[in-house]
Amino acid sequence: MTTLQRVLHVEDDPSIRMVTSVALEKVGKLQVLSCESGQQALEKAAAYDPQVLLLDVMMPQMDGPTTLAELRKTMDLSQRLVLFMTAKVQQKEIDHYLGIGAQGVIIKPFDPMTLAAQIQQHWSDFLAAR
Amino acid sequence: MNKPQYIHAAPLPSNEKERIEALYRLKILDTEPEAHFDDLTALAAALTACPIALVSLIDENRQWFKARCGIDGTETDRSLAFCAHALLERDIMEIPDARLDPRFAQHPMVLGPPHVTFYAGMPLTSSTGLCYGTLCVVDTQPRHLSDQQRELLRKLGKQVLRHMEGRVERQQSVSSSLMLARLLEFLPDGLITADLDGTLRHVNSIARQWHGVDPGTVPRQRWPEYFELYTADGKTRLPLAQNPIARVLRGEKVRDEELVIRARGQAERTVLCNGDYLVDDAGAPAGAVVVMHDLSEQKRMERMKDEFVSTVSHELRTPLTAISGALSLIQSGVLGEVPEAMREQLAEAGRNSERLNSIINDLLDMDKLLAGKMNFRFERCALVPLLDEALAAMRSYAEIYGVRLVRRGDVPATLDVDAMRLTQVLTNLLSNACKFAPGSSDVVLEHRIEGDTVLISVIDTGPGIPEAFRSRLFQKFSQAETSDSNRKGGTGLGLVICKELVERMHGTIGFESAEGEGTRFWCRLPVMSDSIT
Repeated sequence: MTTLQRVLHVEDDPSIRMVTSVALEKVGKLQVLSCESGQQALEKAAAYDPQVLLLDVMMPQMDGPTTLAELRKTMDLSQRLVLFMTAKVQQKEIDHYLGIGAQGVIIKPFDPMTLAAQIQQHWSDFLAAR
Repeated sequence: MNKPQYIHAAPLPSNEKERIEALYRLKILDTEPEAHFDDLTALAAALTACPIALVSLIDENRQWFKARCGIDGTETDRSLAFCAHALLERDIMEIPDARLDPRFAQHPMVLGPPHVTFYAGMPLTSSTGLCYGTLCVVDTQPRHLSDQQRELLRKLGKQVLRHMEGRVERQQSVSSSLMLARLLEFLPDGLITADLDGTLRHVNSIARQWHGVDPGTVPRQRWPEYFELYTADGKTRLPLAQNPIARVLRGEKVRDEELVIRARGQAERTVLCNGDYLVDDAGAPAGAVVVMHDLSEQKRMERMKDEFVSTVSHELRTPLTAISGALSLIQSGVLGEVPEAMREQLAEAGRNSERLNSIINDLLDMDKLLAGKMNFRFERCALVPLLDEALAAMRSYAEIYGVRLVRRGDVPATLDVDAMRLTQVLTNLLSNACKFAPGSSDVVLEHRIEGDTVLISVIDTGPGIPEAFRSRLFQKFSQAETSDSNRKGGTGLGLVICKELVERMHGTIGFESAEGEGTRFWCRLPVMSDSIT
């Protein structure tokens, strides 16, 4: 069983980045690399070698789905868990995220006390399905 | 008025005032000659073998000739009118030789041109007994009418009368159809009428403008290429068979159907069409009418509203996520011990961010429900665990109000519902009950099977719902109308949403309430038939 350690978080809103980092680091005891844009994620992802990609959907310039598509060109995603974090969670939207390669969706607003546990759950489901 | 009056002028009829009014109502005096009257006058002359025949109408001061043959003038002074005497008669007044009649022996038209000698005048009397004038024949020789000629003169007089009276109605109908056509031109909606064979009859200015052409002459087979009509999605060109006029002519009714007009050089226009049969006076089909109402502006507003709601959703939720997230991280103590003095204030901030969140959720839900955009994920759900979950979710909320949550009933049942939406309904009803229940009382969540349904109730022992408020309970924003003392916070959308959700899951919702005793909200949902044991 591979222990979850490194999460790459891409989110344009600094407050959400901060709350997410604290929630994952302090509550979930995970490592987090926070990126403020898709471009920044593309620059840093390879070196960081994340196990989980946690992506906001609506971002200026490069949105979450585009970031995912671009990341796929530069690194092998088959061993990495992809989650979108968004308030846009109508069924057809969720179906769309799953269709473009995400394994799950974290609904905003999220509970920071259980966020890490949610991601851990997705991680173990991901490992089991692999 | 200073004209010399002939001394043997006829006396006025007893109904003179009404007679004059009726004559004016015919609107015939001083009008142009009309073929109907000219023909009847010529016939009267020919059939009686008289050189002169007249349709003479008597107003206050004169006799005026609507039709005449054998004479040049158009009117004379009333005092000179033989016809003014005939007015007083019920039947033909015949004067075989005026020279021998004391009333006319000194008459200038007897002594001089046109040398009136013989006169016969048939009074033109309405069904109400008012006489307008006469159809009369005149000869310069003394003579008599034969019985047959008298009869013919009567019949011709009736024809003249019928034409005089029908003339008003004909003019009214011409002017009212002109008026109608003008009104249709002013109509802000597009209107098209067609005859039974599909010939377009009226195409008002708005319809012409929207279609960009005057399609008045377009044969039915070519409508599709001229009208630029598309189905509501704006993509599929409307085949002839689906054209609203064609449908009405086939016997269908067209009710509130959206179509798109994409006329050349104009923005796409969404219109709401209604069409129906036109019937004639006898009630027989006479054609089709289609009215089009422009929805483009409404559609634009709807799109703007959707975008606004979506923006609000994102823009409000993002900071709210940060606020509530930061608060719960602080409260949890992972960032360090929270000083005792701050705990209550932090809890208050946390509760209020929850409240804001639920208000936003309500608004978004309502919007989705109204737009029919809320998706339901129906699946087999065991009811009892679902009730337990709803109760567990509300436990900390109940504590705030010092209320105990109690569950009653444990008959298992399986429902075909969207579990998340049913939970939403239950937590909403439970939170209402908690708000209104007295401190340290019980709020009961109860269910029982009744036939092939389950009745789920949420019962409180609160003050009950005031009579005056009950009818508005499931209406939008009903809280906004209550007095402050009854307000408990919230958008007033909660119950409206519950009702929509329950109905979308094929259930019903309602309540019973007694003031001072409490309230029971219930919802009834169908149970899957294989689940009742």
